[in-house]
Amino acid sequence: MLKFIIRRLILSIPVLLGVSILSFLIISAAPGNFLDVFRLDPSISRETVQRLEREFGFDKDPFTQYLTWLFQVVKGNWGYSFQFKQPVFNLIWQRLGATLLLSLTTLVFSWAIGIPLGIYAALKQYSFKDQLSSVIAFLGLSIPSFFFSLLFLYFASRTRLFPIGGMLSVNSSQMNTWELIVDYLWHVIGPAVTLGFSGLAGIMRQMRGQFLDQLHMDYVEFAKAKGMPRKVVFYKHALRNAINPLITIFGYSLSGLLGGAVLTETVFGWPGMGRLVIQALTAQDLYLVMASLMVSSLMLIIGNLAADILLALVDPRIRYRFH
Amino acid sequence: MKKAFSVLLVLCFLLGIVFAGIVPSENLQYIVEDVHGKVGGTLYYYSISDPKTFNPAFAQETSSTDITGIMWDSLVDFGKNDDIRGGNLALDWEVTPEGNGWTFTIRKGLQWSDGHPLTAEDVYWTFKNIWFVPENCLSTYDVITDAQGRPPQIEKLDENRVKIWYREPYAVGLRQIGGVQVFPKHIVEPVLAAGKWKEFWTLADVNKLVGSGPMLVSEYLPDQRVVLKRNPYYFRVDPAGNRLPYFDTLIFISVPNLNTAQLKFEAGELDYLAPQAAQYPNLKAQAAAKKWDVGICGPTYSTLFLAFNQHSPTKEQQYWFRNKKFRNALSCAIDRETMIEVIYNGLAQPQWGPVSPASPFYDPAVEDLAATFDIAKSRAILKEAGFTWNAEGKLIDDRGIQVKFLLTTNAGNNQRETACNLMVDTFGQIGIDVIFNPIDFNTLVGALTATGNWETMVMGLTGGPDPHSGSNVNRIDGDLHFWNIHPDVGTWADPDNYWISNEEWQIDRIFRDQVREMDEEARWQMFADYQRLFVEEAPLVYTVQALRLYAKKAELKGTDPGSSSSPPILWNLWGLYRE
Amino acid sequence: MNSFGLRTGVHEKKKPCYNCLTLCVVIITKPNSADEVSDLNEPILKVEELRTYFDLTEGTVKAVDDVSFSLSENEVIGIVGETGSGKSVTAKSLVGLIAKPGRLAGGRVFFKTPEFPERQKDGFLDLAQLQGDEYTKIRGKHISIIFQDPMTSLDPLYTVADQMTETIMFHQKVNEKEALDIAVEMLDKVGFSNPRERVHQYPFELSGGQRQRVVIAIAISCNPEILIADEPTTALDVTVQAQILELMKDLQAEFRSGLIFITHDLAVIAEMSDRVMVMYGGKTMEYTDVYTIFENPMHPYTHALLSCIPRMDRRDQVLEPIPGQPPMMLNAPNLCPFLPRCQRKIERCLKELPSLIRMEDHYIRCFNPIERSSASRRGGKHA
Repeated sequence: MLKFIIRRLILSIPVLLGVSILSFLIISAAPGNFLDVFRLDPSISRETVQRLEREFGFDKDPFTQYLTWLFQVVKGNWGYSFQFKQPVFNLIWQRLGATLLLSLTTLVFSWAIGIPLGIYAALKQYSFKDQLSSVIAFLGLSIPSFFFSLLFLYFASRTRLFPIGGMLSVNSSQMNTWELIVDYLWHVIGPAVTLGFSGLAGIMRQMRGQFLDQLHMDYVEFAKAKGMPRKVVFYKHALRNAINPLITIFGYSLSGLLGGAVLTETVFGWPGMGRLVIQALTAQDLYLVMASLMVSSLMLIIGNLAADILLALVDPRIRYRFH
Repeated sequence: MKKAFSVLLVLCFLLGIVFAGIVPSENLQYIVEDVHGKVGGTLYYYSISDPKTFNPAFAQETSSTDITGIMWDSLVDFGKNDDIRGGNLALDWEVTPEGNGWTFTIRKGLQWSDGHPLTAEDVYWTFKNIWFVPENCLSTYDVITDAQGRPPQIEKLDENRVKIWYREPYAVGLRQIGGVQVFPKHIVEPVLAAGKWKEFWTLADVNKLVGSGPMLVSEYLPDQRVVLKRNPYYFRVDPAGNRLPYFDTLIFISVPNLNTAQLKFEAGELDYLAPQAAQYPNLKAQAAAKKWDVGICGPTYSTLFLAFNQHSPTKEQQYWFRNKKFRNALSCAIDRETMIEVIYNGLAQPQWGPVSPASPFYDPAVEDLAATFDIAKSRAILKEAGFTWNAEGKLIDDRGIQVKFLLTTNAGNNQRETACNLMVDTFGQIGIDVIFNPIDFNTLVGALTATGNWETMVMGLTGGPDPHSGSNVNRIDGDLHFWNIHPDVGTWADPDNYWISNEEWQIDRIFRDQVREMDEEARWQMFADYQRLFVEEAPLVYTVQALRLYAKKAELKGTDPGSSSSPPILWNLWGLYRE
Repeated sequence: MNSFGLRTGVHEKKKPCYNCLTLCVVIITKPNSADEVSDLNEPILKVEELRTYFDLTEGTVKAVDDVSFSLSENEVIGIVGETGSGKSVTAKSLVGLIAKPGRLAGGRVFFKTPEFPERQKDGFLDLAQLQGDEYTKIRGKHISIIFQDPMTSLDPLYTVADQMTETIMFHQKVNEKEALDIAVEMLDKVGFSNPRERVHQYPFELSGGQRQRVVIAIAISCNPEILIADEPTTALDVTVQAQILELMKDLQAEFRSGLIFITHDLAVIAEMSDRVMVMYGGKTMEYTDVYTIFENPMHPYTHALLSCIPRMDRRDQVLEPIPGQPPMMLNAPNLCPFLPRCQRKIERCLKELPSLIRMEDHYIRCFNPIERSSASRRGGKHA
């Protein structure tokens, strides 16, 4: 297993290298650079712009710029943000927590509700409750999450039941841990629900479908024939098998933890990476964009790896192949 | 203005004596402001994008300067329209006998927020080591240098006085020197020596901030909030002797956009909102019931104009675009009233000249030259200039070439795009085929500053109270004289095909001369001439100008929203209070 | 009962040939089976007019419609029929494995058991009355069922040990260690070498035949009175089929349990069964001892069925497919399901459904059966 993980990690290096080259090329190919705003500012002289161009390395060709960047990255220096004058990693690090917190809450929300609901719907197949949950699921899948977010914000502002965006109340620095948790939960409901709804719906439908498929499997019938009670048949045999494909989905959703919520973060004013990255993109803050792309790629690789490892943990057939 | 200032000075002095007994602890030369508020509380403000740095030397956009402007004061105090109110760190100043500089007297007893005394040494050191060194600041060096790009000189006369002077009289020098901030030498000097100045006072350095302004940042949570706490050593007091500011805390709550800010304001989470025109009617309707004050501050310094590339890559266009009658005819074919209605919900006003009505240099005479929307008049001007119309009603020049061109702006800017679409429509009414082709902002900047590959465009530049800020645009060899770029500046301009109109020469002359004109009255007249010339020549056709709007809780008192200052009510943060 | 025929089958690789060989051998070696039938004890399972319907949106499918038979201890009943004749549904109906949209529409399944004494009538419990988890006291403990495909009958995510012990622990109230011992013993019984280690393997590590052995081991682990085998060898390759059949026969003989053996393979029926029930269109067509079925089939369908398989002892035989298609089961008319394909149909067949009538020990559902003693397969062929 360890060998497998190490091999996968080594194999991911050329992938990351490729991603970085491609990203750098695309960013360089885009017209203009970070200094464009300065060029149009009447108060900034051409000499200043030229000085900054030299300072930021824009006077070099993209290939040299890339190599310089790569060399620095290998040395552990991810560069400074043009806008913030801070190491890009500090900036990402500051916001990583908020994004992960939201993503994880959303993940927990959609899985903790989606799985049981899917099982419930499968067990009550064709009943009114099953059909109702299907209708809700299709609604969830078809409403774009940002639109749902806007609806939620409107609802929050009219009813005052929920805060209008943000992650913590303004007086959060005076709260104790317990109050902080409650405050966070109060704030996270909106983004997590609107972000997780479509995921929840998808998981629920997947779970329902997988579970129904399993109920018609021979080994489930054989388990019944062995005289196992319903509980054992459903939860030990059918559910364990039904959950396998969902674990793959779960692993892949791990890779989306960092990038999955840009729109929702923007609508709800969530202090995560999404807004930072969008700002960096529009301002062409080169190294910040590069760093965030690399972090996202890394998450993708780790997520896929995590999916494979999880699958191996639950499925002896996959585990067997690792040996 | 000068008179008002001296009255104020005297008043300050007298009040200072009267209330010296109330705050006897220090030998401080206070500024006593005529405000009568209540001490304490928190002011809830908002910001749509986060500050990028707390270092004023490298802060560029308003999200950063709004906050650094609160933390560090400058020598001169500017009011709500960026007008000079009086002294700030400087108690007063006098013009040097040569007329090319000023001797500033620094207030006695000033202290930094860490209690360290603030003296003329800090002022001297800051100018000498930060502002006079291009590498140590982003653009301030450009701001304080004279018209030829030469920095002023500084001398520390004694513990309380510094002298700053230019090589020759420089009219805008006071505004520029008086507007830059002063830093604590005892903090910055070692940082600078260590070569860490560029990375100092970043957002991560909240605990290292030592300033002179009314408040200082005490907490920064990315994309959540910036919290500022009052500076106990601030040098303003009210007549009752309360040390200002009244508020203990100012919180900038981060919001993703103005719509969310409106929701938060409506929910009572914010005390103030600068709404857009589209939001205004709704807020106004609720104002009475919700106990809000909703109103209009006045015109801003933003502009929106149509520009013609006199070095257009399409050669036949140069012939039209260099014809001032053609440009004036098109100005008459712009329906500014409809623009105001469609783009700004009626909350804007037509703009005729290059200087905003918010500026003290605005000459209302430009309104007499107004090119109101009149298709017949536009056609008449074109006819007079030798244009005709073919059988299909298309405009033909005197060489028989049909008039058509591309119109561009930066894609994604709704206001500009709408303006363009309206122009395509009304220009069609005078027989011109205009193709609207919005492009990405960076591509547009490249076209303007590097390639010259554009025909006409709708753009805006932000001005300031003093038209001098537009030097770079108005001087014929200016980098932003983009409609008729000088061959030395823009490689795409053909030196053999370079032509400058008489009016442009005159405008250039005015901008070269005004900086040496120390007499305000004479300088005003020069800019009045400039405005007239510009409107007649119409190298840029100005369209409409948005009005700045405000909405605030009625319980928030002491506000005096300016039309230009950013943020509009925080210029007098020291005088705001909650009832 | 272990036979020469099986060994022959091992040598002969081709299935038709194996069929014919087995068949002839069985027929020769089975003369005493009629005596055995008469020796049988009191039945332990009595199925009466069993009906299982499936309610689909298009209509009702009567998958099992009026099936009756009984089973005694140590008796083997073969149920034979084409695909879709209702054999498997019959088997599942006995143990309550009919899932929606199917339902038990009628009939009784009397089973002699110590369970639920309060609900018994004359020492028999009507399994058709049981609900939900009540079946768990019967299934796997008193009646076990083995399915067609051993490749998929075992849960891929659990070891053999886990799947065996969960059954043993549930039914026999023993602890895990004892259950594991029983499991190992059972694996040993079904012919596993080194069972103590292999019990911890996963199903995917076993071959098809080994998996079916595991399934059988699970089925017999609680020593059930009745074992139902629903085409247990169909999915296996020929050599393994033979081994599994032999194993089942041996085990049945050892445990003296009643065996319901379901198959579409007449050769296997001949090999295994004491009595045979022929099903068609969800109905019992003919039901009698195995010897009579093969030598003197009375129902035209049974007759036609036997014409489809080759026989070693008839060299001049021409194989005869049954003309027409198996019946559509949806909204079937209340007539003999074989009617459209029957070459002996008479006027009466078009009007009403024949009921299952008894002629001595021979049950038959036909208005125009082939005469019993004189009937020969040749005669049927020319009819």
